[in-house]
Amino acid sequence: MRSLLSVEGVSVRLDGSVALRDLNLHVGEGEVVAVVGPNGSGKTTLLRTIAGFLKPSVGRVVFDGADVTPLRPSERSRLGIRLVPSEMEVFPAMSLLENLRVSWEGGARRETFDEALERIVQTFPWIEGRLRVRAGNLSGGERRMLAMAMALLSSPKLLMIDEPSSGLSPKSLSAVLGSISSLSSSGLSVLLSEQNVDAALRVSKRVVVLRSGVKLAEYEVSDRAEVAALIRRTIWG
Amino acid sequence: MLDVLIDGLSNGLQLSLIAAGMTVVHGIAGVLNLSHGETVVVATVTASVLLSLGTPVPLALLLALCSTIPVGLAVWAISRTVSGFDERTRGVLGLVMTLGLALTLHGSLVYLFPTANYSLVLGTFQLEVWGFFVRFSSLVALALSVAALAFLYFLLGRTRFGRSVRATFQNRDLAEAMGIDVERTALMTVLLASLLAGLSGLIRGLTVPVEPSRGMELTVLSLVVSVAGGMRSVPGTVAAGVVVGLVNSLLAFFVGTYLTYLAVLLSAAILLRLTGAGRWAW
Repeated sequence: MRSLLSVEGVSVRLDGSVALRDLNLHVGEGEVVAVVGPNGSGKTTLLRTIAGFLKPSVGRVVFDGADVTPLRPSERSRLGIRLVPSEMEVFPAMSLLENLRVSWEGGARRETFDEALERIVQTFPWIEGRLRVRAGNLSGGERRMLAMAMALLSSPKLLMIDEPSSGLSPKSLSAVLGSISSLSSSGLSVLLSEQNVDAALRVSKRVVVLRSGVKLAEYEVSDRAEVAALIRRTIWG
Repeated sequence: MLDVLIDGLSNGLQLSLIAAGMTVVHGIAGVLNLSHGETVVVATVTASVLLSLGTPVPLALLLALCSTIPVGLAVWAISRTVSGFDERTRGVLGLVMTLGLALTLHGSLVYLFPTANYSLVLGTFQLEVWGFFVRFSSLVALALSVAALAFLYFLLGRTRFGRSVRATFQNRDLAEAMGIDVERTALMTVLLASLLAGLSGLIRGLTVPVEPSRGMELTVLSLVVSVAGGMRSVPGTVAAGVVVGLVNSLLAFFVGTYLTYLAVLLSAAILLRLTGAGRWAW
């Protein structure tokens, strides 16, 4: 499998302390990889570093064969790296239609907005009837799915989702994970950060375990229960 | 009476134009620009000097508008300078540095052009509207103010640039993650705010002379309007500008100017209480 994203020996310092230490990671084309670990393990820091919001003190980020380390987040986004943050993931005072249009305008625009919208509505049919609703009026699960729809509208090559299960009801979580599964089958590369190990294992093919900014292990997901036990042993000893 | 209402409304809309600029610059560039009123005066002084030199009116007004661009660039440079600090430090540094810019501009303009009062006389004739006589220049000022705000509404509400401004205003990080060049958006917004302030000053000169020393007063008034409108809301700012402008004009006409600022502050406080900061976020 061709590597789409490579994180090579990346260390990040935040407020004087090391948040990520000598981290190596790769995501192949069409692969779903999950980064799991407890609170403060560096999962969000890793995603924000790949998205360009944080600069590594050492190491580099290679995307689609090019070193993107010096690029700003908006430039990386236009190359096809899209981050869905865990909080404040939509523009609350804008309608769903405006949220989607903003995302399309910031992307590669390989298709017209109407074509992109039609494609997105097939994945998220509930959006069609609520295009004029303010995003701030949506439920937590709907906001999360709108954020994913916004990211997908721009036809990214790599979708990064920070804590997809965060704050969701079991029903919303199932819907979000179902969407991620269908995305991976369409050939999109996905990198998740997730505290909820079971949720991560339901959609990913490979799992990277982080603790205190250090990569402890990496597992291929074959038997979910076995990998879950391995991950818990790795994190908690 | 109708004349007073029209002047008040026009005055309020002009204040809205100035304050809307202050609001968006605060929201996007993270700086509360205390030199914003001086930007108005830079445009009016430039227009006054150029008109006194015999420059044709359209060219003088165009150059006067362009004269606000260097002030906008200075504000943008300040916002860039303070952007590396945490939010609280950035706020204080931004205030101090834009106040320094305001005092520098104020001192220079008053010292160099003490008599450069700007007014644009369109004749003294009056029109009869519903039995009241209204100055033609007041109606033109009102129409231009409405047109300028309609343009601003269209620009922010219906264009790609406007969506980028509102997205950056609401969530800078997310806007950047969506591929919006937030630095470029901030620069364009600061320049737009400067041009709006200049335009407002030029419209204002149709009804009252604008003196070189009025900058700080305009800054304070637009700050009051911006705060009363919720600080993070352009529609709120426009609504607050209309209320403050009307209160200002009506009280100045019926009671006298000595009470107007107290009433303006009181009406702003009531507005703030009624609307709540940011309720009309756009």
